[in-house]
Amino acid sequence: MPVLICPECGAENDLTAESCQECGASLLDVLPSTLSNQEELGQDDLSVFSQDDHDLPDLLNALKREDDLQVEEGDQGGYPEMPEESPSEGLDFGGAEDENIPDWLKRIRERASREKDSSGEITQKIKAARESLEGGKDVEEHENYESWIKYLRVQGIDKGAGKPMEAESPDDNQDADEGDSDWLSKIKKAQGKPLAIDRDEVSDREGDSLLQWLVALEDKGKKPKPILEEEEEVQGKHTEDTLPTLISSDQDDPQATQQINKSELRFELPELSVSREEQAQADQLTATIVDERASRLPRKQESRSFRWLVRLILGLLLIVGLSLSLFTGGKAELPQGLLQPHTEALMRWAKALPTDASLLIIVDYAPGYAGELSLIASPILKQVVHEDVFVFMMSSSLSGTLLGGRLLDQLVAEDRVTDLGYFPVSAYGAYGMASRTTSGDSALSLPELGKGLPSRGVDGVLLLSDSYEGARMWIEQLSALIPETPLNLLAAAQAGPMLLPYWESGQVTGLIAGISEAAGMERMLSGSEVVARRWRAYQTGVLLLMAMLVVGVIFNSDSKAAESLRGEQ
Amino acid sequence: MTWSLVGWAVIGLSALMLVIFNILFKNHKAYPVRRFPAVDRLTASRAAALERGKKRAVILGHELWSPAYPGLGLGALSIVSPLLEAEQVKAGGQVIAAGDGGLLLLARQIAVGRYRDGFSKSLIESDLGVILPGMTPLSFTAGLLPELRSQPYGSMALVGNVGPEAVLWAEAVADIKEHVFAAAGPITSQAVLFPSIRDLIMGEGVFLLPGLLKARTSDRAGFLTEDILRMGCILLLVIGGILKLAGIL
Amino acid sequence: MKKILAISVAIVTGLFVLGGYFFQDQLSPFLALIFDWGILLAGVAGLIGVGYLLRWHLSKLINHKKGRFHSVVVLSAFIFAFVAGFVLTPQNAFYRDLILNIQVPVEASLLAVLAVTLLYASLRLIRVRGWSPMAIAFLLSALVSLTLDLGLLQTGSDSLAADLLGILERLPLAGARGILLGMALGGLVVGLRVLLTMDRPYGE
Repeated sequence: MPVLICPECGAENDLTAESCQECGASLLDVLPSTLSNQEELGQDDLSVFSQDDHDLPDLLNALKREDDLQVEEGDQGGYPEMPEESPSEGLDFGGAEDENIPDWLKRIRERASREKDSSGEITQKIKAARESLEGGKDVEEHENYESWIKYLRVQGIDKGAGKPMEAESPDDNQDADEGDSDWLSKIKKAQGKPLAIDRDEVSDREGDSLLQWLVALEDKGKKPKPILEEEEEVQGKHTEDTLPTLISSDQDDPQATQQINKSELRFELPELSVSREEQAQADQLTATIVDERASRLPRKQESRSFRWLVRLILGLLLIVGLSLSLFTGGKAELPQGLLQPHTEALMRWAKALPTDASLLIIVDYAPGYAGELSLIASPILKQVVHEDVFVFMMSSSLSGTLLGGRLLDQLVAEDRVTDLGYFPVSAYGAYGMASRTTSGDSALSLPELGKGLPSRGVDGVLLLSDSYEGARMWIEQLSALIPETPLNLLAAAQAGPMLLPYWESGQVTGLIAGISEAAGMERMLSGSEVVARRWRAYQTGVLLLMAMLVVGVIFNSDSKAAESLRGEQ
Repeated sequence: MTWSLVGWAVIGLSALMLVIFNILFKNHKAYPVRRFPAVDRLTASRAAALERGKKRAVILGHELWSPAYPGLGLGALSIVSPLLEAEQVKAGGQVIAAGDGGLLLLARQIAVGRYRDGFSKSLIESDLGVILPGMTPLSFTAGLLPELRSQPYGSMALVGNVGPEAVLWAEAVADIKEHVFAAAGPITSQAVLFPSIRDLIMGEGVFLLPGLLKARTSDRAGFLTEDILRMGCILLLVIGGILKLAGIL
Repeated sequence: MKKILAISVAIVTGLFVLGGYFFQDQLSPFLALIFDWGILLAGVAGLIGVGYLLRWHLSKLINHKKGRFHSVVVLSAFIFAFVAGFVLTPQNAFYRDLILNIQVPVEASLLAVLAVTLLYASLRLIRVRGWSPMAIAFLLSALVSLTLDLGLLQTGSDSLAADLLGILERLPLAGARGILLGMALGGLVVGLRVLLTMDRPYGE
């Protein structure tokens, strides 16, 4: 396909182009030239090399790419391109012009010869080497050039021998110098270590002189050490597993190549940077794969039934112990140390409450805790709820209305109890309740909640709660909205310790939590035996729990437990 | 100067730190996410359960909003999305249980969104696997236990506002030697779960869980903000204690 | 569009509630309205939860899934309690006893199972946790608390022993308070992240 070759940069242009697409030079006087298929293929696609070229080592290909790039970019520092079919042509020290050199290459060389600074350092060195061969060249230039060649040879030797490449220049480890082009960066990355090819600084290199090496070639002396290891000398032949040498070792034909076994090439892989999370994910994946592949014994059914059996035995033990304590123990003597200051405070408030007081009772416990709460609340309610007392009841648990009704059933007449209803969301309900007041009972009126506290207020609040969270919410709301009204808590044992600071800070007047504090309360009251009849059963349960803790320590404190834990970790 | 103003100052400072760290971590090196072996075991157990064709349960607790632990319900919802990754959604078998209507609706919305994003054929409304076994803690237990016993569950995660009855659910799965993980909020549930299961995250670790599963920039900003607040709190407590002992306060 | 709407509602509501603290006079009517709406929504969500529960059991029944007998019991009990509540009203003593005489024993039984499970868990504490500092601290604090709860140790009111016992009683409280402080901080950060739209746990 005929194209127009730019005389300035050598770029290919369409026949219809009037100026070069790369450098803008005028193409009016340029005659179209027809490239051979191979050249066209090589020039059109830099990455599509011939079979020979595919066998070239990466370095040479990179050098060739540099040629092409520099020619395209009009870079004056480039060295002449090497034709695809003869990769070593650029290093042809035979001296004779090859008739197969394409026209564009010839033009470039001509231009390079005309303009002193048109070619780069490497090209200049090649020229210098040629001239030195012809005689009368500066030794220093030869040394610079030969040192570069030496470096290439050393790299090839190291690669072939599998040794890490030697960096002879302190600048070797600098990546992405300003003077480096992309191809050099790529080579550096691919090789793992940057090449020491630095056009700006080509330091003096030690080693054999290029001249000597070339002389050896001419004199058919000592075979130069090939850059790449050679397995067998096959001229022009190579298999898929071999690569040709960079420098010929054939004494007769310097351009002949030798086969190198690819398997003996060692390339240093680039370092991977793996983040901590990626490493963790990889470890997890590896662990999962290992775990999946690990052989496992079939699960034994006995272990499951063993756990069920242990629980059954413990359950029976608990039932038998509690039953014996309940039905055979009788009334127990309650210990003296159970009476707490906050319990005493609540008792004092209950005694001081007037007979015609109005009380607000808030039910905030689940039916499962009804037994415990009724044990705690019944003696207090018997003391405070009289015939003349008005009771307002509200609940923040789903069955609270029913539970509160049962509690008050025998204590006060139905007409003296006002059910303020159920508030679905506790805190909002408290806020809504406190933000409006009513004169008496009223039904729910949608969309607003119509119920609230009585307008004249109440003389005291009794909060029955099974959890710290619910009680805390009510305490916070009520102590902020009606701070003058005494607030007393009757709570389940699990909520007691967390509610104690509210009594200590004065937000709560009194507190009874759990059966143990109810037992202390009962000691103060006369005529009540509710807790005393259940005290032995309570003690039995607690002692059984303590025994299980101790037994668990004794029988499970063996190496197996620790090993299994470590293994799982 | 009142204590409420001090509280507002802390809130304002926290908001400022969150914004600043969020911006910083988007473009620069982010705060490292600490590793919890329990969370690693959770993800591994879920993957293993998926591979073995077993179901995976996530229990979101009883309340969306709790007076004592205000952010716990939202924190529990936050982990639904990272747990519903592509493989889990595709394979099905994921069961999400909630004990509150609001929690249920939001969890369902998130689950539907994830399935839809993954174009999963498992997006059959009735089989989506978001259930409400009961409205109260004990009725929730009564509804959940038969479900856990009847189906083969390979992994269970308890998060959010759960009560002491959570140990019954945990034992139902632990009985068949499967993995149980808990990031329970309330003190009582932490106390009963501590001797029962090994992989238990307590305290503010519950709020770290969404970021531990899948760390985003906002999660890392939250971690650093929490750490700073925590250190400040510790410092104030120690200084206050010393001043109290010295009689100054 | 749906996402933007949800985010906007969340931000505006949160800012209103926050702003209501500083501008109480100006914003209190709006706050009251927002709270009323919140209570309504919570109630509606509760109703939706009930409906969802019923639908789940109905689907188990219709699709002949495992455990449908339990669903029959649940649905029957629900219908009965629902109808009876409308007919008899919750203030009726018969209705109250009918419901509570079933509900209280059932829930108490569950708590009894919980007690047995806790017994078993206490037996396996070391096997599950190993000899870690946390496990040892848990063990010791449990034993001390249970001993104190039984009232077996009695001391004089102003004696050193009473003070020591008081310290021991309050020691778990200190740890619990520490956990609550941490959770409060975590809740604060979660709330701020929702307000600042850094996190959208309410749906995508």
